Amino acid sequence: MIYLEKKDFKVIIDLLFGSQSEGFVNLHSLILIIGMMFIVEISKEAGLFQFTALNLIKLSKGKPVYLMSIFCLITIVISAILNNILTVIILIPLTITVSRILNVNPSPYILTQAILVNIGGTFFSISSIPNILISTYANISFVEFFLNVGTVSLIIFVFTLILFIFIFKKSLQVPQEGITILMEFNVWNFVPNKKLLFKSLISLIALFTFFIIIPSSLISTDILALLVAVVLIIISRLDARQIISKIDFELIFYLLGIFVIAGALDLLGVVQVLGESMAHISGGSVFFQILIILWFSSFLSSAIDNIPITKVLIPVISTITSNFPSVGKQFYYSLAIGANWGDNLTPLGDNILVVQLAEANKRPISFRQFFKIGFLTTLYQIILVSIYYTLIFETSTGIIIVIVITVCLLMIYLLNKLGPKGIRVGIGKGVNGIRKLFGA
Amino acid sequence: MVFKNISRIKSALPEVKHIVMFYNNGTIFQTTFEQSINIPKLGENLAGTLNHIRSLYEICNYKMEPYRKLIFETEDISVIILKLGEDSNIALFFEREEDKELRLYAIRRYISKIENLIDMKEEQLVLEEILTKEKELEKVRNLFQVNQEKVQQIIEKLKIIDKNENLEESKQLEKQLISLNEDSSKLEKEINTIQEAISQLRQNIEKQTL
Repeated sequence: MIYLEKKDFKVIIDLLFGSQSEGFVNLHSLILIIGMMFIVEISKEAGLFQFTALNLIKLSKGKPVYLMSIFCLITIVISAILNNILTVIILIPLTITVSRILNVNPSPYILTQAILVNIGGTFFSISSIPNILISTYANISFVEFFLNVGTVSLIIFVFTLILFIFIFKKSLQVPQEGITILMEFNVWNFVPNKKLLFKSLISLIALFTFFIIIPSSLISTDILALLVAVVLIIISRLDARQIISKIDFELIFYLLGIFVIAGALDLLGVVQVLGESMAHISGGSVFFQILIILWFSSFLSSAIDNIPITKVLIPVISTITSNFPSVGKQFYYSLAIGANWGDNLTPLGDNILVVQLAEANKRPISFRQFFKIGFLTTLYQIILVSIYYTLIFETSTGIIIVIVITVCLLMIYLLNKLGPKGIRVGIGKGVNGIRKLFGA
Repeated sequence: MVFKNISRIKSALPEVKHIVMFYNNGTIFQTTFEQSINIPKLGENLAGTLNHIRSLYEICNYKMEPYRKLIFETEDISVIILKLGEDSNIALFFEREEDKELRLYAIRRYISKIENLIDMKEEQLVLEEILTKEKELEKVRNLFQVNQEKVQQIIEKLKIIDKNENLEESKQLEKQLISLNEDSSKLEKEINTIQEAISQLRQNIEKQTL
């Protein structure tokens, strides 16, 4: 204390944030995260997410494939706004409740949701902490991020949905009686106050509109988020202390710690060495470099939390980018995808929470099954992204790969429909084998 | 369907002012309360009340068996929370009337109907899985049977064929026999796996009922 008194409060600020010259802490990221936390907390309080989710579920009218598709769609929409943990906290109990009414097994829906939260997490620059860290560091605008990462996520989402429907098709059956009862579920029961619901909905729409129409060079995204958060706090007329008490300060301090550690690694030259060796491995090829970043970051984030991974890899990517001046921000996009999606390769992190939530709601799911489907689906997704990058950077090779895969699938389909009985039986066995492999 | 049962409860017990059907996570399925009150908070508090009692049991070192009902009486209004299904409950808000006993038995029938409608038990889920597995088992057994018949036919043919004269045909039949035997052993393995899965599911059900 005497030391601090003599040195004045600058020491504390330096300890927390690092010195200004070192630029350890990116305050833009922190402000954006805090602003989003307020908006999300009030919208959650207003029941906006459950209200929207159940309304969409009712739209399925009990058709199993529609229901599966809607569950998946809800997951990515909600996780595009909320962080993964909040998304599963809201969605898993809701899914189990709906399954109780519909008289169906919730396991396929829970498993798919747990995997898809990561895809939703790469939709927008504000969808997850790694995205916020990347976009604020590399100065990637909201629209730019969506066009380069969000659209890829959307494409991969469609392919993942097709895979899930293929895997779980047999177990997706909804009794008609359940649907009639689900229609009696009053969705307004999630809403404490209609006015608050509309206010938070309008605020979210306004926020996204601002992100799209206001260039970040004019007003940065963090200031926009903070502005909307302040307005929403005022117009919601909720007790500000109550909202503040629900803000995840633990995460803010965790981030501060990560910022300082990453800054220290940068200062010690570790980042430089890592960046140069990664650039060396690729042999000067942008395409290979992107694939290395994608696979490296995804496997790394499967073992360690994706926030520190991203924070440490951002300056590494910056070093690599300096070796490839023509490539622009592609390496950062690849990092965003790898860091967000790699999470499901192992059943750690928020996946443990999913298992716990399912158990708490008396619908336990097998950890082994979760691991199997999580690992295989993530591999499938990363392979698809790799094909996508092949199409962009090595177009002719990419086209050949796509043609070969399409022809193979088409042949399997035709043989299954028109081929001799022996082959059809063989294909049937193969299909069942794939389903079993995924744990269905 | 649920609405019908609610109105039946209300006509059987006119002193019931309001009904709330809720899950243990605080989600309210249906209520007769108007939207002007904070419905999510109502659900949260009702679920919280049950959780408090659960904690109370824990503190007192009592084993918490599935509860049946919780009654809270005041001068004007009384609340009764009844267990519906595995994870669902129904709260009845009564207007207190002097010297009148609550005739809960009158509504038991409707309550069990609602239970079946809004909350499927895990046992039911396991039973359905057993049924699916049994169907699967039957299919595999049929396949096994067909395979065995084919094996028998080939063995018969091999007995008839003169190996020296029809060398090519007998070789082919032997090949077929080998592949059919391989298939049979695979199917046998599959039958065993399904049977094991069924017995595992049955054990799970027994554990739950105990």
